[in-house]
Amino acid sequence: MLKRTLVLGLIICFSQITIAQKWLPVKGNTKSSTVLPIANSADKIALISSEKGLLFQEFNVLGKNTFSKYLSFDGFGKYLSVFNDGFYINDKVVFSIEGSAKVKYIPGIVIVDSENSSYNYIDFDNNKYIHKGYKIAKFKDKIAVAFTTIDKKLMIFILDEDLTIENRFEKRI
Amino acid sequence: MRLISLFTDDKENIYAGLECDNINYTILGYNAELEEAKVLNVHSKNKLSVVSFSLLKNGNPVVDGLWSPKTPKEAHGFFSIVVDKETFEQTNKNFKPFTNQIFAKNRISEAAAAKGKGIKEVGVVKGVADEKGNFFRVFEIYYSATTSNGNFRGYEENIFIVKYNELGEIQWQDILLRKNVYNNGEYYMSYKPLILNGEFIVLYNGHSLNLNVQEQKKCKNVLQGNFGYMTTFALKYNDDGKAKQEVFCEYKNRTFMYSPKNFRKFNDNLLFVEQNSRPAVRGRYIGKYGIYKIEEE
Repeated sequence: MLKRTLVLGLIICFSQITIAQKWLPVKGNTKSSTVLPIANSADKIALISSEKGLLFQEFNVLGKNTFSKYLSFDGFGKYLSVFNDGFYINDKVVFSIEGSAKVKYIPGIVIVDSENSSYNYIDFDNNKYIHKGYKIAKFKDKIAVAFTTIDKKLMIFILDEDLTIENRFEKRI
Repeated sequence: MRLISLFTDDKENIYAGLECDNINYTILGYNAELEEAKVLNVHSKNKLSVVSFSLLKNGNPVVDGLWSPKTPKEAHGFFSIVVDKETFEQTNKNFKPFTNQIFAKNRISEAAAAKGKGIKEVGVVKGVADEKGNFFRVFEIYYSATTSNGNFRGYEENIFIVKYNELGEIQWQDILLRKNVYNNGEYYMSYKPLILNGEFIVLYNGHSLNLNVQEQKKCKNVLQGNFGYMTTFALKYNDDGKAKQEVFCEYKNRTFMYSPKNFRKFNDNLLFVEQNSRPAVRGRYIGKYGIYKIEEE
């Protein structure tokens, strides 16, 4: 009893930062075990749900669903993975997908423009065998993409917002 | 060869951090304006593991992670190697063994540690940097096993924390005792390091009676079917590495529990949070998502 009182006392005296009991539910098609936050800015968050297709959703900080769109992609093989390392560029969401067909992995970049209700994507299936797992990073107002190939090359691409390849670099490591 | 990370600066440089063959690491810097590349093979007589790459505030790349004098399968301490952005040479190497306290809390005696013994299964690194350029790395022991009846068991245990300053030097290190056990490998909640209101905080789930527990033998297990005891804690650090453990959220509604790994920070006061159903609904964990406001008392 004394122990419990002590623990309770510690909880009370250490609670400087608390979460207000104000839960703002993110309302929309999020009742799934597969929802993934892929990017956020100071006032928006983008989620992907892979239930019934790939559903992209954007919410504001009040939990209000401000945009929803089902996304579909050609040319990525049977299985598609989404990662949570996306970011915002000029109010557009950039995130990465990876398709797989047998032992072959196909990286892809997606950009979603909720203001114009549109999206665009590019794949890097250039018949090179690519290692699973690749990275994207925000590079000023551009997108840097890197992956390694089975023949031990590191490849880096720089894309603009239209997903046009501006610069390309490869080096054997 | 594995690409570990891709990071950029505001001066046309793109850096790629690569693991070449489990113990050898390479960092490549590419200047997009000059279309020039520099390569550095990171070398040490020690075995490196769970390696991360990032940029210091002064623009120098830094490689950090765990090291061991014997085998990368046993972590013996934290390290960092700073790379000069101009010459692309290793300039500042920091290798520190874990403190005696960390070894002791993982049941490794001082004598065994002195002989180079390390801690197994330390992995799952996550990091966060503050505005001053200090950065923090958090590791946890995570491993899985198959039970005698063939079922999967996942274990997330002690959490290791290290602070580096803006020059990439190790400032302090700490450990938190914990033992969570899961039946479903996809459903582990891990932890989330955050900077909130300038403070470094680690949010994690653990047994409600483990608040401020200091001894491994007193650290209680939380089993997947025993969610009534699960609590989300906040481990808060001051600049000197002194920790304070708090209950971050107690579960009034025991139907759902938090999954800190998918928390996202909007700003110092607003967090995107994920909850998962407890237990699984028809064999599936159902997520609930929301935004919580943080208030400082």
